[in-house]
Amino acid sequence: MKKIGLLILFPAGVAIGCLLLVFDRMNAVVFKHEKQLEQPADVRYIDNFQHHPYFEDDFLASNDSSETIFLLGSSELTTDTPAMPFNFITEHFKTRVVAVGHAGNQCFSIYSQLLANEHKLKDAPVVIMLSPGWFDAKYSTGTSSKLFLEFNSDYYLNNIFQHTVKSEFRDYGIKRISDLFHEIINPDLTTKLMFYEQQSNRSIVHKIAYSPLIVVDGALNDMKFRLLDGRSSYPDAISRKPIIAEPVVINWDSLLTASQNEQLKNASNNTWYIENSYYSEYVKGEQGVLEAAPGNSSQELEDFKMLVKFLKARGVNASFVIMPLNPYFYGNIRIMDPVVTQLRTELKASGFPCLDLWTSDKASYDKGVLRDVMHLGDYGWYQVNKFIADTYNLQK
Amino acid sequence: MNNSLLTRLVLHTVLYTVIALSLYLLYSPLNDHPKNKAGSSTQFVYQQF
Amino acid sequence: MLPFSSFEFFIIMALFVMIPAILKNFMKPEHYKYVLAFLNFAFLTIWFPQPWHFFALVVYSYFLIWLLSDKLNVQNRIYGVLLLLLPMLLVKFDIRGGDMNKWLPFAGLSYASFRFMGYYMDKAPEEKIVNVASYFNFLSFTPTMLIGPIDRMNRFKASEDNGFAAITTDNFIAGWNAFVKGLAFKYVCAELIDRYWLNIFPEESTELLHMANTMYAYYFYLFFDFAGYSFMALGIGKMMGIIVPVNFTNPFFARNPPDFWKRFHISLGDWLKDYFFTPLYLFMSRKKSMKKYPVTRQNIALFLTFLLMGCWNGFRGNFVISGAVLGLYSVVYNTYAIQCKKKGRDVVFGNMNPKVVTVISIFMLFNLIAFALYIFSGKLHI
Repeated sequence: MKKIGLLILFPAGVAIGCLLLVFDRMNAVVFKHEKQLEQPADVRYIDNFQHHPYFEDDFLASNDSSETIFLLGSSELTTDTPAMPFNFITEHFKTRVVAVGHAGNQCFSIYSQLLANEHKLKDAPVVIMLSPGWFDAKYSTGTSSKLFLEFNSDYYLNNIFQHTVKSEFRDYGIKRISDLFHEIINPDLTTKLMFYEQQSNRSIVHKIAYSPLIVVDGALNDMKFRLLDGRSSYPDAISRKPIIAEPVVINWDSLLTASQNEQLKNASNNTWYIENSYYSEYVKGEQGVLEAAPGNSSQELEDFKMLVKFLKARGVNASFVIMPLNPYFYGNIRIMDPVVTQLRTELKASGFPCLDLWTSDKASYDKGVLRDVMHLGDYGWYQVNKFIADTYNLQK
Repeated sequence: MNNSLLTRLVLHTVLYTVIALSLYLLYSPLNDHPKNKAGSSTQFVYQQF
Repeated sequence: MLPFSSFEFFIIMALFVMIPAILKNFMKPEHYKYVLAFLNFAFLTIWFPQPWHFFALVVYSYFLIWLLSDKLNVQNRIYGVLLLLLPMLLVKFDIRGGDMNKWLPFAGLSYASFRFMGYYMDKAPEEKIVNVASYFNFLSFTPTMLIGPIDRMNRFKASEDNGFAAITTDNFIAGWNAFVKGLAFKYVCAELIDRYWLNIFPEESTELLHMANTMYAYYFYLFFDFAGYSFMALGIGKMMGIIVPVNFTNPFFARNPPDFWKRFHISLGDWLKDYFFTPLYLFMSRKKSMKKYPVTRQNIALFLTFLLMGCWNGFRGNFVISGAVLGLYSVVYNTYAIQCKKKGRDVVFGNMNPKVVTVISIFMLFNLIAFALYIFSGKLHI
């Protein structure tokens, strides 16, 4: 024992003692905090929080002078034309629109972003762009782990784990994050804690086996957030600004007609109402095939139902847009009708306003609404703008 | 305490201190090196949806 | 949680070290294997992601060895070998049908396969199959189950039989020292290389300086990472009472290919020699057409052994070519060594000072191995 004491315990004790002694000094010298990047003024679109960490605190917050409506979606948000709501609404009204998302930002990703900001949700105006393509069998297994990490930093995950109300929503979030655990290399402490919590609920043996890990990781996690400046405490609940109806006159009919005509003019090399350049480069006369998830049920659909339930329970001022797919390109589009029916049923039951642009019938397809096989063109976006203006009473 | 044990004690102390400091510097939450962050192992091909 | 994947693993290992040390005072020596089996079983069922795969493999291999060796006494072992290696071959060859590719592969499959194949080959027909608990421990010993070293049943069993007695202060200190060495190698040295040396130039760059930098950085990275794991496994094993074989001893100072394989991933080299090279060489020796060409037989067996080693990593170009390159090194050296012996002198270095020859040899081999591993890494873009 003397040998163990001299050759192991004493040196280890000295090592840890030295570390604690120089801890603060070392942090100050080695980890010089770079000046927080100034948040650009007039942020209108964020692809993800990984590229824009400064936006994490501003997400779902009102702006200085009035309310901000948050538009959440996926690849349809990545174009930048004057018709995009974050340009059109922001330029015409005091109420701004800020869009968040890119390809792959599906129901669970949106759910967890909102869950991490639970304290800001009451009456928060949120518009969610739903693509039926999310429920295609290829993508219906839910948000991928890579995408999930782009939208959920340690800070957001810690919010979910430590600060959200203990509820079925928190439990669902933790369960789903635990499902992704094995795909994540070097998971952060909060993700591990969520996984361990999930595992320890399996049996009394698991509870005992995981308890030392939970204790150690919990302590380290607290220490970690104390070290990270300004992120140690959960932000206070915010008060929302009222949406002010303004005497702004917009000739919607004219906008819609002009944009539709423009879109159809640019889709002259095919009879599927697809923009010329997209058609020549990607489509070339070949049809796409959709595949319904088995039994028309899927993880993505479960995530969607939970998202709607969560928004309802937290009193979010939410609305939805069900986007169309091109029925000329997708020859077997009717295969998605059952799942879209389920989306409609959920939304109707929830009472959330919904702009339903879906049709699987070529005859009733609103020609020009899409610029390609699935993304809204300006004509489609003006319909969304009108929907937002009407739903949130932007106009007097 | 004989010389050999003393030498080993000093050597261990120095070594453990260097290792402890290195481990902290590499894996501290304040170290924002990309390899110190969580990453996904799944290949993500940007979807159209 | 996979072994060594996170620091929480070491918290579990601390418990695994404490438990036999405490129970040693209350239990008989012959109960050590059951204590070990309990710990290995606990790790698999509570923390390991795919426990049932592992249990299925243990049952499958144990039953097969009992059937082929104890019950049917099948003389030609090749059939048994192929059956035992079937799960691993299906994964490596990517021959899977239907849903098999979802459930067949699991962490630890390769190393477990090597172990039980070795046991089957070593087991004498009259020898009864080993106790289930010992067999289970041999395959699932937590510190070594994922990344080796590849142990042998007789060595492991001897160590297991002496388990409680081997938990001594000296062994604890020796084990702890090996563990700390492994920790420093993997989590400090390898990590520093990976973050600040390995990727300083773009991987696709074809500039000689950039490629040389990546080549040398990768060699050091691979060594520190792999040797780090091995020393940690050795250290934890020793603290628990199990002697784990050393897998790395100063490979940078190897003078020739055989010397290198006695210093780098030693257990793999030994395994390939005993279960592939030697049987293949003996098989070729029995062929009339090959009887007159002993050197050719040796060289073919050597080359194929290293080619197999390359392929075992996967059927990608970088693995197969690196295996072939390493095989070529061994063939060239083997021919050189035989010529030296025949002629009674060094056919390359002549009467050069032996110390100078050693330095040149070490330098040359260091660069040759670095090059072969550079191909292996997949970072060489040609």
